[in-house]
Amino acid sequence: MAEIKVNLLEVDLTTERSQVVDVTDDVKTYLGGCGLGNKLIWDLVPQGTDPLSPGNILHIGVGPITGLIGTKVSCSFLSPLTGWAGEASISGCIGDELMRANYNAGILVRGRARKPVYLFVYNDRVEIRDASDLWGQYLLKTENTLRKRLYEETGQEFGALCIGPGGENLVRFANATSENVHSASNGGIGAVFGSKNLKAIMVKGTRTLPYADHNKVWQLKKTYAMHPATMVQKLSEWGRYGANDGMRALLNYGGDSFKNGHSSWDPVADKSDGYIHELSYRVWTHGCPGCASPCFQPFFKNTPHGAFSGELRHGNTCGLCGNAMMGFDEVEEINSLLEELGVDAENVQGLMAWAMDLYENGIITRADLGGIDLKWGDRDATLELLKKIVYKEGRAPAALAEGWRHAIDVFGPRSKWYAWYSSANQAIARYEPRSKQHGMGLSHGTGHGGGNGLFDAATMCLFAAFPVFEIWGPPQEVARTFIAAAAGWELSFEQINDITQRINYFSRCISLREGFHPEKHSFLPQRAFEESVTNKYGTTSVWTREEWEEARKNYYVQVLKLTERGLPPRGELQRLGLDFVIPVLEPMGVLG
Amino acid sequence: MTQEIVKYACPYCDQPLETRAALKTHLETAHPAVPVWGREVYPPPKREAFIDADVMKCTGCGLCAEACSMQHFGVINKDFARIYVRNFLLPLPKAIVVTCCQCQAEERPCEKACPITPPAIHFDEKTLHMVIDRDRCSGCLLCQEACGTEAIRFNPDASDKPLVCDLCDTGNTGERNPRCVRICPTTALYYHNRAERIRPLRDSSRKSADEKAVMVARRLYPLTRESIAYPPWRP
Repeated sequence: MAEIKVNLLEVDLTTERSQVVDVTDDVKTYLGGCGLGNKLIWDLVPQGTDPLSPGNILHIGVGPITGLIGTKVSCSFLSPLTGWAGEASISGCIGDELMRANYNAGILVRGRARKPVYLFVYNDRVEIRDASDLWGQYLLKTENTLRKRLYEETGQEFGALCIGPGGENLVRFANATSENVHSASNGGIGAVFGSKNLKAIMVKGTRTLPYADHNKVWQLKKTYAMHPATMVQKLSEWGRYGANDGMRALLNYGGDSFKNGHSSWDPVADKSDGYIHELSYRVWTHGCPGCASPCFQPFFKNTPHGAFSGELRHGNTCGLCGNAMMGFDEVEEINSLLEELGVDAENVQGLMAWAMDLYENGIITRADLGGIDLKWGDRDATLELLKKIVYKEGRAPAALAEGWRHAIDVFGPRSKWYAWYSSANQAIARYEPRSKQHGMGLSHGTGHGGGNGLFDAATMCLFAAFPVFEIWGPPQEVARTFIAAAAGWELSFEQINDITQRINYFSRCISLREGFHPEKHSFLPQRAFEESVTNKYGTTSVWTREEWEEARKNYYVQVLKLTERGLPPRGELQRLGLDFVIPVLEPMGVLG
Repeated sequence: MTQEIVKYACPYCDQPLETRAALKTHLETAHPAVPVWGREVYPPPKREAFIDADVMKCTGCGLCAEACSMQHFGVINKDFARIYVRNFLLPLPKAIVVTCCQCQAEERPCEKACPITPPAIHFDEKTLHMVIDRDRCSGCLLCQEACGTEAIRFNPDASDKPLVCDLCDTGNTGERNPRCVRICPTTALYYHNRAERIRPLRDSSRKSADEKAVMVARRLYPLTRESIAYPPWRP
């Protein structure tokens, strides 16, 4: 069968040059998305590079099967939030347009532009265009203006990935968003955009999709779109509540933190109901290109104090409302401003909840906060603080904008006990780590924020994938089937497993190279061992140190296939063809 | 009018029926429904028929356009399709699907705009859908300009002649079976017999995507935030 060629568009903002690179061999080894991204970071970013310097790269990654199981884009870069490997994924039109422009390995952005620019990609036309007039604009205005301008110029609707003031001001957890409802949030990708003076990436493609066998791909797509499992998911679950579908169970069974992690259930949870939200404010359902079980439920809310619109994702926005003691009523409105300013909802809400806690306990004062009386769940105070964080006004907001580690240094050692964050300098805004039946404590306490896993590498969407599992089986089998049709590569189940393992090791190796060490940086906050929480039905949970160490060791060995210390084993690295990392990591003493 | 108006008609066999109750009885006795999860599969209607779109149900997956390009060109390319989806930010994302509605004879601006006599783009009375006579069409694209729905598309990579919806009857043999309607996962597309509609065709079917976006966006207004720029897209 014919095999496809995989093209990567490489753009250097410093020299204003672009070229198309054939990366077929790399994609066969690492898959696209974050897999190829990890390889690019390792090869192109020298050890010890400042994430906000021109030496960092930004890989907007797609892969051979992007658009077949949801449309995901997995962006890789060196994270300004952690300093280690960073990955942020986003759904929406941008991935589809990249594929249709036949850049099926994505775009690699290097260097730094001298003045604010946006990147214009229309099939073969790649231009770096001036965006001085858009610098400082809110996100919606930016995207609207650019889309309108390019529609008038080319008659085409462009896919967009833009940053707002958060990214421009190099807030460490700034995000990049698309279409007002999609956002790439993790790791501070917006700050990387901002450090490159890159306001937006606009992509449009009109070519035939680069598939090896269109008939085979179409049979798979048709099977997925018309299958009963897809119909059930669309009609009863994602199609009605979107990602809020599981909220009620999560909140009631202690799956979410409340009051900055001081409890795992609170009556305010009853104000956070996806069902109420859907009935009151949902306007229609929107999905990504190619997805037959669309899950975006945009809302619109007109109130005497303003009109609010957006989309609430279960993880990013709803899961965190409890932390700052808010119901959906407040979160809908704060979410609207978040989407305009362009910062990661999860981290900023976690930080603001922490600030509320510190303010209540007298560790930071009203003067530190620039005169804000920051009470639990106060909508107006939160909105005010949010603006101050993004524009770095005042002592406390400016410290918060630099992320947890920096803010703890500024606020002093007493503040650390209240800090509800974990390994990857990331707020624990969703998924209570003490609640063991949800198993998220291990994920919080062992991660490093880098791109790993089959889903991010193959750019499959987990939300779209549930019916796909029912039709084709486990994820490896799904990836195998779709890659065979779309790329013409016959991979075995074991080969997919090896690729996944290779990606997981690789991202950890990048983080280790940049100074991450599991014994130093993988932790749960102290409170997870000292303060027990009780869910709505009276189940109390807390970790003991021994229990945690045991669970963490097992997780490292059995799930992540690392040594007990959380380091990649040398033999496995050699087996998977990653022996080139050994000379770099050997002197640092971080190999198992 | 070129067609009779029937109050009720059986979707399976086009038998005209006087009352709703009679239709129900007819359906239960003559055609026990074949339920497929979330959708009913009807046999294609027999007389003049058209593809109708429920804009509010459309989620923008674009599978209709991909089905169209697969059927006509054997490749997946949404730009080769006769049906397509436009994405608006109102400011919430809204997809609006655009398709030819096989206008009745009184309308059909494309046919009237064709400079060739008889028109190269015309409604084939035998096969009951629009066709473009490839031998006579000069590719002047006046039909594309005339169509208020913007349903006629042109892509030089696909064909040097404009593309118009032929209800998937590629060989012009009368076997109409629009694949977009079959694939649509949210059942936003309907394949109607024109006679089963009480009116021949709603004028709303002939609105352009921009006009539809303006109408959809009304439910979101007034928006107070300064950043809201559309609609309309075009000044």
